[in-house]
Amino acid sequence: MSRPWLLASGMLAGAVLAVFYIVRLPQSAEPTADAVAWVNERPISRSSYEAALQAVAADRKGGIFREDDRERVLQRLIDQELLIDRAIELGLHERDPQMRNQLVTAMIDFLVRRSEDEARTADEAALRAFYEEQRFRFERSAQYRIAVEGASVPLPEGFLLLKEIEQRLGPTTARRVAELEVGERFRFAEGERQYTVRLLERRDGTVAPFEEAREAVEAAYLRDRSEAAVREYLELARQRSDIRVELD
Amino acid sequence: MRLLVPVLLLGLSLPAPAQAHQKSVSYSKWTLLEGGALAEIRVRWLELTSLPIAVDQSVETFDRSAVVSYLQTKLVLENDGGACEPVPSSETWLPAERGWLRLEWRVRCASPPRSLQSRLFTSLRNHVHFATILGPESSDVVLSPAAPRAAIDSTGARAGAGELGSYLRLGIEHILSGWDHLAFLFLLIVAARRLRDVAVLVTGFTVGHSVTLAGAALGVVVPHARAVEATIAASILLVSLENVGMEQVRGGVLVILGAVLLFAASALFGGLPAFWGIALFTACYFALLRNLGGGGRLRWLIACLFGFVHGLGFSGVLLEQELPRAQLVRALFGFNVGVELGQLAILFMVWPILQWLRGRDLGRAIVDVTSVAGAAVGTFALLVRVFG
Repeated sequence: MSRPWLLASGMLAGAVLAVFYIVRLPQSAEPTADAVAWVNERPISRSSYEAALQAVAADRKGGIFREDDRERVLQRLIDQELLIDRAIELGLHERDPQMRNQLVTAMIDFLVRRSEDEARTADEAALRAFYEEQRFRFERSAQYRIAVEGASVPLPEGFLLLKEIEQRLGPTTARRVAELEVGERFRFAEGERQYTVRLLERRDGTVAPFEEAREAVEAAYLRDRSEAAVREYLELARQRSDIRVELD
Repeated sequence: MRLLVPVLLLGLSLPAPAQAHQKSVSYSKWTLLEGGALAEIRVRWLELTSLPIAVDQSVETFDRSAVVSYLQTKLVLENDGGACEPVPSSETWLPAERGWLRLEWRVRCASPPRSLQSRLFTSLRNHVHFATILGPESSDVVLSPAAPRAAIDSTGARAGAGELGSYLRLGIEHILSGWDHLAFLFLLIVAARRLRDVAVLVTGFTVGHSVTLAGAALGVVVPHARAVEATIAASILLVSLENVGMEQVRGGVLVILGAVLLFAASALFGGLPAFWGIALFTACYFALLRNLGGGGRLRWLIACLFGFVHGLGFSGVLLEQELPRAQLVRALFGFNVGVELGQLAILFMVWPILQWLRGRDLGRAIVDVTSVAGAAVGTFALLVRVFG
């Protein structure tokens, strides 16, 4: 290639590169094939329309629509869009405390749902790693078998959790039971109420094996992931936002 | 050539209108209703600071009722009996983007409205008010201190010619107040010897800017505003360097290299990758000119290519209005014709003067002086638009 043509090619390459960064093609709107109507270029989806129709059908005898039901439902959805447009235009979402609270709740729900969807796809290894890291959360509580003498307290047979002892004999007794060695007893007096409690047997708390605790592990994993997702989003939002505190 | 470097440095030290020619603008939308209209206006807070209602030039110190009163009395819908009356307490402050206010109110008209008058910011000579009338048929009007009133038709029989005329006027005003477009155009023609050469250059520039003005206004392409403004400044620098035959003179390679490095720095440190392309283009362009034995041979190409970029700059004023597509085509046509008329007016004024100067052997001197000044201003504008 001769020198002039080489230089002309360089010019062309430069011009193309410049054009590439000076202009861009407009982003085409997300195709919404299932829109039943458009209000100010915003679609009303067929799924919203059908959900509204179902709600109307539930009110109708035998689920049979009246002649004008479909048109009426559509018009109501259009009205809704128009009212939402105006609410946004008036900034109600910024001014109305109730709406702000609803928006905050909806946003947290959205983040939680999305993170839960992601967490549900977690593999076995991730769940096991979480279980190992958080073993203390899957520990079974200690259990006690006791006998009460000197009072007719209805106690179920077998081992009881401290919580169950507390429900039946009160928190002070439950605390004392936890401190007893097997075979030891103590006398309890409270007003006219007097009895002796003896510790017959004790099972110390142990960590449940993974397979047994799987359901609890999955639930805890989802909860942890969703809490982390909200926290991460807020940290990111704080980094991206211009926040000025002017509190004295 | 010896003059160029000191003048470039001098240019950098001078305050100059380096920013793109920002008009003072405001917008309103009038929805015609039974017995009146609903008005919505959008104004920059900054512009209100020029009025006596501002206490100390700060947005927080505005008395909002004074702002409402000012806007309602200066922007009025008129019917046969005079101004339509604002409905008391009908004003609503709407959320607006940072630096702007948006206000809505209702007006009551005893008879159908006939015209819209704007006496907003009369102290700002270049203030333009864009109004959209939403009636049986929508229309736009452009109001300015020179043409503060426009007829509207609330019956549906539209006065399309008036609307076209207001955009035509806007196009003329835009080119006449756009120093950067004028500088580029002038530097293109100042070195032309024959009217035929001028015709070729102007045609190239017109074709270029018409294509992209239409493309951007119709949404076919989306311009990157900062890159466009910076490239317009670069175009002034480039054509100035070509005018003085920089690729031929002794030491000219260094100046061209300086311009290329400036463009590369704009890409590297100014966050405008488009300037990698412009740097490559400039280097190859001047090398090619040197190879072909001198400047001038490819000026039509420069006129056309940079015309594309100037067209993107023109489009900004139309894009700001967010016009409906049907009106946009009409507005685009009027605006573009206005730009061409303004351009022709400049040519008809400048060309005889240039010929007169050439007749007195001052042709070369005027090319050198204007090109050196153009290089200085272009460099300064580029630096401000990229790093400012």
